[in-house]
Order: sequence, then C-alpha cells, then structure tokens
Amino acid sequence: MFVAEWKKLLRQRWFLGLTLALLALNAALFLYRQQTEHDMWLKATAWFSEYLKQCEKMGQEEAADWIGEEATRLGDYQLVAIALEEGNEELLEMLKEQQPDILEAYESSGFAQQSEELEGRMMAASTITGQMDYIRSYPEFLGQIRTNYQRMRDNAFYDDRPYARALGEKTMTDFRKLDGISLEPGMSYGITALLENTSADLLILILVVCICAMTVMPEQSRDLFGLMKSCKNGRAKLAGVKLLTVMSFVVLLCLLFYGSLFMITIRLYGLGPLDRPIQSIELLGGSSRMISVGGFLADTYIRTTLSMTAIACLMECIVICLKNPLISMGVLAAGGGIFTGFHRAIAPTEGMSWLHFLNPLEWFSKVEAYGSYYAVSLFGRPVNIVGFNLVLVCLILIASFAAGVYIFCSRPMAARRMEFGILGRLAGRLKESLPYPGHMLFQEWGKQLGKNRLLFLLLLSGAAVWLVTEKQPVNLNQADRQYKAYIEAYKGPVTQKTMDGILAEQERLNRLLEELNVLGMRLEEGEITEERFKAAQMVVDKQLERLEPLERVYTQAAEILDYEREHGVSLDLTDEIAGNFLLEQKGYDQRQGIIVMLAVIVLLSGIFPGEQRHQMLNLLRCTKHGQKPLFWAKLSLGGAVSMMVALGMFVSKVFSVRAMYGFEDWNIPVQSFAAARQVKGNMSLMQFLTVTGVLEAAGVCCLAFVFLSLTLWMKNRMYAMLVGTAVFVLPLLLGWSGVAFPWEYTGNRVFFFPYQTAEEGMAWQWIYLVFAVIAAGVSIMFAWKKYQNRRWRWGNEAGDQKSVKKL
Amino acid sequence: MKLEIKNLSKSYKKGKRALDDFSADLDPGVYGLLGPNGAGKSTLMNLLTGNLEADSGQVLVDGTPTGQMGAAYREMLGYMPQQQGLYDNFTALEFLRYFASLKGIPRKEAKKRIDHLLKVVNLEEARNRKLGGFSGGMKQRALLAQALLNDPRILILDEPTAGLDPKERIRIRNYISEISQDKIILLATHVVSDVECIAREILLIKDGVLLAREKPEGLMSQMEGNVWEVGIHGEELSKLEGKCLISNVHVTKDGPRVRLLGEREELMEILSKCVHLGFLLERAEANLEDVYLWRIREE
Repeated sequence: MFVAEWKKLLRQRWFLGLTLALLALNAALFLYRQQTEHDMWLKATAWFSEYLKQCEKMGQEEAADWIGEEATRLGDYQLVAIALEEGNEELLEMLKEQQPDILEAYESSGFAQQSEELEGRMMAASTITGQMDYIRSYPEFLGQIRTNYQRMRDNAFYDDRPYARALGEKTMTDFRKLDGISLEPGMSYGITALLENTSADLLILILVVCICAMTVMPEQSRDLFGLMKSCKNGRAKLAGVKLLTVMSFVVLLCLLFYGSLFMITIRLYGLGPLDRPIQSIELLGGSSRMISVGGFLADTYIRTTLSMTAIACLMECIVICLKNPLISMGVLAAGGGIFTGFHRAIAPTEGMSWLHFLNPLEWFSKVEAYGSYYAVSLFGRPVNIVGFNLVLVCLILIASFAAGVYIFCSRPMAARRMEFGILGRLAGRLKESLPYPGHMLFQEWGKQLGKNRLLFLLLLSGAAVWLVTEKQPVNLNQADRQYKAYIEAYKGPVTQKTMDGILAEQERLNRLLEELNVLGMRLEEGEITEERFKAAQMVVDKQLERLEPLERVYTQAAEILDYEREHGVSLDLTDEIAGNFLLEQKGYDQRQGIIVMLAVIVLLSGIFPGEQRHQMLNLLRCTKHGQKPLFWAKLSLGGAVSMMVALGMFVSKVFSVRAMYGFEDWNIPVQSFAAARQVKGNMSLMQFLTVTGVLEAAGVCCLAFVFLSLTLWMKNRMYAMLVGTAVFVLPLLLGWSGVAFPWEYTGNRVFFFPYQTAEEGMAWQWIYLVFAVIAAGVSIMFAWKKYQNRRWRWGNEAGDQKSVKKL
Repeated sequence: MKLEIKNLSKSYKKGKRALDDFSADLDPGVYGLLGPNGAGKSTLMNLLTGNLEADSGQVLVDGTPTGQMGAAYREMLGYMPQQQGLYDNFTALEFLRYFASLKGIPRKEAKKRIDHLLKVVNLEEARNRKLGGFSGGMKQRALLAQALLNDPRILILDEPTAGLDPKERIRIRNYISEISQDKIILLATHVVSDVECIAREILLIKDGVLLAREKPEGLMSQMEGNVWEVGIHGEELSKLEGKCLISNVHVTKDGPRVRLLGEREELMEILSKCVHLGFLLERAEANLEDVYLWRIREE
C-alpha cells in the first residue's frame, strides 16, 4: 500500500514539476544571496585557507601577531587605494606621514592592478584575526559566566527568585563542562551561510502544504473515501500509510533541499575542519553543547527534518479532519499567518517562555534554537531549549499521527447535504417568489457571487484590506514633528515671501544662538551666575532644536522655488514625509501587491475550475449563450472583481496617509513633492494618484485575466490557487524580501505605478500597461481555444472556413 | 428537418481512432445508439454537440454545417450528458433558471417551461431542494429537464434512464416517445429494452464504425432461426461456452435453461447433440439484446 501511495503521488506530474522548480529556485536564491550579500566572503575564501596554512606553521601567539600585522598592512593598502581613487591628497599625506614608503610598497605589491585580490586578502586576514581574538577571549567569557553568577549570589539577587537561581546554577554547570576546551580557527563562512538560510524552509513548507492536500484531496473531491473505507485495509492502515507517505516524502524533500545547499556551500566555501568544537565559530559561541561542527550540522538538520515531518503530520491531520480541502487550506493559511505574525513580533531573545517555542516557525531558527544557550521555564524549572524542542516535536509528531488515524477511522468522510422540514420548504417557496435576473450575464454573476461564495470572499478580502490599512497616527520624532509644524505654518504656494518668512525665522534662531554666546562670555567674566546661564541655555537649546527642521523646510522651499523659476509653474510647500509614503515606499507597495494578488487568486480561482470540477463545461458549451457570451461573462466578472480589489487597496493607501500623517493637501500640484518632479504636465496630487491608481487597477486586471486563463487548464480550485501563488505571489514575495532581479519583470511592476510614474514619467507606465494588455490578450486567446476545446491550427483555420463555406 | 452526419472521423492523442468515417442522415424520430464501452458513442455525441472538433467530416442541419450555424444550431440543441457532477449548492429550480438564461429563453416563457418540465420529470416536490442532496436518479431527471428546456429540435441523450427506478424509466421513456414527432432524438443507452420499444431506428456502433442501421424489427427479423433455448445440465453448459454464444442462462425448476445464438449451420450441429443427449429444445423469438450481442460478436 505504501508503494502504491507513492506511485500515486509520483503520477502527479505537475507536483513533481513544482518540486523541481522550487528546488532550482532554492539553489538560485542561495547563490544569488551569496553573490550579492556575501560577495566579500566569496573573494576571501581562496586566501582564507592560504593564510590559515601559514598560521598553522607558527605558534599561536606568533600566528596571531603575524596575521594581525598582515591585516593592518592590507588595511593601509586599502586606504591608499581609496585615497588614490578619490584623489584625496589629505588622506595620502596622512598615510605618508605614518609610513613614508607606503606608496612604493603599495605599488610594488601589485594590488594596484588587482584590487579584488586586495579586498579578498583583507577580508580573509581580518576574519582570521577576529577568530583568533575571539578564541583568545573565550576563556574570559567562561570566567565571566562564573563571576556573574557568584556576584549575583553574593548580592542576594537570587533571594526570593528561585527560577533565576536555578537558571544561574544551570548556566554555570552547563558551561563548566567547557572549561579547557580547545578552540581553533577555521572556515566559518559556509556554516554561517547555511545556518542563516531560511528560504529552503519556506519552500519545503509550501511543498508540504501541497503534498498534504494531494494525498487526501483526490479521494475527498471524488467521494472515494466511503468506498475505500469499506475495504479490508481501508481504515487505520490506509490512514497510517497516507501519513507515512507524507512523512517520507518530507524527509526526501529535506534531503534534496538541504543536501543541495550543502553541496553548493562546500563548493563555494568549504566547511573547514568538521571535528573542531562548535564554539570555534563565533556565531555559535553562545552554545554550551559539547559537540563538533560536523556533529552540530548533522544534529541540526536532523532536528529540522524531524520538525518538518511533525508539521507535515499535523497539517495532514487537519486536512483529514476538515473534509473540505478549501477550508483546510484556509485554516493552514490562517495558522501560517498567525505564526508568522508572532514570529515577526517577538524576537527569540525576548520570548524566553516555552509558549514562544510552541510556534513551529521557531523550530527553524537554527542558530537561536540549536546553536545558542536558551533555557525556558517549564513549571518553574529551567529546561534547555534543545531538549525541550525535541520532546515537543516528537510529541506533536506522535499525537498528530495518532489523531490523524483516529479521525480518519471514526468520522464519515462523505456526508451529503439533505434539506427537510416545513421551514426549508417555506424558505424555498419564499425564495422562488422573489424576482430574479433572467439575463445570462446576471445569472452567471449571481452564480459566482452567491453560489460560489465570491461575494463572501470579497467581503473577507475587504476585511483583510481594512486590517492592513494603517489607521493610527504615526509616532513622529521631535525633529519630524517640528518639521510638520513649520510645513503647516508656511503651507501654500512657495514664493519669495515664503522664503523670506523662513529666513526671518532662521535669523531669529541664529540671534538666540548669538545671545547664548554672549551669555557664555558674561558667565566667564562672572557677570551672571551659572544657574542663570543654564536656565537660559535650556530655553535656547529647546528653540535651537527647531533649526534642523527649519533648514529642511528651507532647502525644500528653495528647491521648489528654483523649479518654479525654471518651469514657470506654481508649486506648494507640503509635507514630504507623507509624500515619501505615497510615492517612494516600494516595500509598502509590494506588500499591498502581495495582498491584492492573493485576494485576486483566491477570489477568481473557482470561476473556471469550478465548472471543470462539476464536469459542466460540456453541458454549458452546447447551450445558445454557452460559448463566447458565457466565456466573456466569466472574464468580465474576473476583471470587475480584480479592479475592485485593486481600487480598494488604492483607497486604503489614501486613507492610510490621511490617518498616519494627517495629510489633506490633495489638490496641490504633484510636482510639489521632490519625488514627482519628473512628472510632466499640470496635475494635482489627487489627479496623479487617481490616474496611476486606475492604471494600476488596469494592470491588476490584466494579471487577473492571465490567471483566469491559466485556470482553464486546472481541474481543481486548489491547484489553481497553488499555481497562481507560485506564478504571481512568489515573485512579489521574493521582491519584497529584497531579491530584485528578475522578479520585477514578472508583472510586479504594475504595483509600482505611482512610484514608477513619479520616477520615470507617465510614458513608461503606459508601456508597462501595454505589455500587460498584450500578455492578457495572448493568454485570453489561448484560453478561448481551450474553453472551446479546439485545437490551434496556425494558418489553416481560414482555409478550413473557406472549404466549409464552399460545402 | 434533417441532420446529416458526413464522414465524421476523430482520433485522440494516443492514436486511438474513436470514430472512423461515420455517416448517417437522421430525420425526426428516436434513434437508438447502441454499442459496447469505448465504441465511440460519447465521441459522436460530443462531436454533434460541438464539444469536440472532428479530424474530418461534417455535421449539417438542413444542408448547413453546424460550425457555421454557431448559436443558431445550439439554440435548437438539447443535450443530456452522462454525468453525476452538478452544481451541488443549486436548487433544482435555480439550476433550471440558470440554464434557461444560457439558452436565451425569456423569463416568462422559462417559468412556464420549468414548471411543466419539473412535473414531467417528477421533481416538482424537490424543486427547492439542493442538487447536492439529490439521488443519482433525481440528478438524471434534473439533467433531462435541462435538456428539454428550450424545446429542442435535436435532442441528444446519453444514458437518460441510467439510475432510474422502473416506474420513472417507463415514464421518461414514454415522454421521449411522445415528443419525438418533430424532433430528432439520438438516445445512447446500454438498457436495450429502452430503445426497443420507442426507437425508430437503431444505430449499432463498434470501434468507431457504424455496423448497422435498421429498424428494431428489421434487425430482429434478420436473426430468425438463430436463437434457440435449451434445457441443459450444468457440466454440459461449460462445454457449450466456447462453441456458440450464450445470451442468457436462467434456472427453472427443471434445471438451467440456456439461450443460444449462432449461425444456423453451427447451431444445428450443437442442437443435434443436445437432442441426442435428451435435452429439451425450443426455438425462440430474437430480441434486440440478442441482436446486439450477436452483431457485436460478429465483428
């Protein structure tokens, strides 16, 4: 049965394709991060082992001195390189003063031609120096733990604090085992790169959700469980096999995903000696575990795999329990959202409670959970997090497995809805007597909105938009508050009069500063008391805090005035903080984009796959209006819904800026904001936002059409949602998490229209929109053929039509 | 009205030829489409309804290709597929209203038609119940009502009586017969007795090829003298199985009674042995089931 379940799984080619795609994505993301964020590590790797070999030939002290000197020498060369590159004579003179022959030495070293080698050597030498300093100071760190404990005990800190005492004692005992430990320097980039990687965990979790859905959904959607449960092995054994299949597949996924990362890491950096204690790596220096680096890596990834398996088992249990796949996915998504929220809200160091580590996402914080020293309070006793996590994960795994089997065996899996009773009949009669739209378009819209719960989902999306809308004023710092106050004072068109007003205020503040200087002199001469000077200083200092915001306003007004003179227009002085939020927050726009696309995917995923699932397409197609009119009715609904969501998000942004910054200057020319000076033509801010918002909504509408077209190839809403998320949301997520290229060109750009229009001008947005329209048009064309169940015949179709006419 | 099917051929991706140069001219009346599983019945129906594209050949209505007629053809078409998946959260009434709108029937007329058809298919009581709670037979009846909504001139029915109880089956069969005066009704079924009584002609199809097109009586008369019933002992029955076609075995108080089909010469040899062994022989009237079995085997 186990093999049969596996075969069934492997027959899902789309899932295998998705797995391979995510595996490739995982490797690409890891490589991309190394190339962009850790390019210095890559440069240093070759020199690292060379330096380390030379150090090994020397004694510890001698090696530390030599590598330290090498790092200083290379550092000086780097300063020379910078001075020469920037033409900074002052810096060059200073360096020559310290070492008269430094320029000659730099030139003879050959680094002038090989700047990359210099950077790599510098990085390697300074890393080894850092490691040696850290190793030298490690016994001090151990001693510090003992001293702290003794000092706190002597100062009666632990009196009436039994948990703190127990924790102190435990910490001391745990770290005492490390006395005399011999640490050694070694390559640590690879291990750091591996441990800080979280994208693999996220991608595996996505596949875990898919696999949980896939092992149960085909039977659930076809009402096959009743049949299967009537077979000899169709109950506990089948449930157990399904759970085991999921677990074994997750283990395979972990092997593939983490294994590929290991291979890349070894190829890029190597892992250094695997038998050195983990404390040799500074990142893991806080751990009290007596374990080698190799042992730690194996232990961590086995624990992570176990955690992943437990989560998979729990998810499978939920999917079995909830019967409806859509609800199951909703519950899993909501759970994921809540856990992510908690994970982001609480830093691991703050949540020293066992409750914090109940969040499954914490099990993947490899350094915090397995490579640090965290103890949690369990019924008043400090327990090490490593042991606690293991017990918790095993408990969840066993409990989920048992619950999954029990629920599968005990619950009926195929319940049918029946309506009985007088009330039901009366309600039916009442409903029947109500007027209803007779036109196909309204019937179709009514079906999707009411019967397919699109309206309900739309309301849910509205609630989600409302939730993410910022409703509270932002806590500005003193300088920003002062800046806003000045903006309020000098609000309106910028003229010379405005500038004069600002200058007058500046002069007033400068006068205050002069007066304070005079008072200072009088204090020195003994004419006034120190108390009086201090009192005056306090008042003046308070006033002088306004100087910096005022200068900001002055600069802003001066720029506007210059622009006005150059272009012959009249602009307003306005709040640039709000402008920054409206026109320059790319990250915010990406977050909005993720929400919009998720909402669009959830809302529209049922329109075509719903018909496929009910096997209704054949029936619909052969009705009078069942072809083009119905196809367009469905598309128009998709367009309308996506427009509504996109415009809802636009309104949310406008509302947010009002609530956060109290901004109301909607009628000022858009060029009043520094970020929007590229915009051509006379346009108020509201007009600009409306135009870009509508363009953005049109772009979202195009993406929705592409998605709707794709869904024609999906027989299941769940698959449609998964594919939609992979195609439209994942690029946005990657963009949001900082990976810019090439995700910006996958349709993401439609979410940056205000930002981009301000930066690049309106023409580019039209070009982006035209591209989006072309993409939508092409996909609709293919979708129409698919809807009709017709083949593509390039060039032959016209001929066929002619021959038909002849006949 | 005339529906012409001209040299229709259709192959699927893996090279399976589902329909091979199929031709037939149909005038108003009921046509029974008989054939084993995978014979090409559903493919033919999907080609007629425009759900599939033919590799070659055409379907014409009064000389006009249906591809050219487009919506005008679909307006005169009623189709009842063989399926159990419907919109589970629709009531029967909502389902029919939805299809009335798709068929472009004005609201007032749709109301009359829906009320009438709900009576015909005996779903009046269940009109406000959700389809998800319907039994298989009730779903079939709802689908039939849907097919009849636009009073179609061409009605294509795929297994319309599958899952119905005998009373409902007869009722539906009679209604189909009643409305067949001015309609072309193509009825595919495995329940041979359903078409035996009402079909004007039988189209016998196998491996995508039209084997025979005859009136039921004509088909049955061709089998005259080829059907015999023999009272036989159990151990002799297994010996007969390889030698001729057995269409039925029923146990009477005198022992098993076997219905044999075969060419007269072949049968005579077997029958003479039966006489020699003292078994009771009786010549039987051929029915459509015998014809079906015989013609399918023959190929």
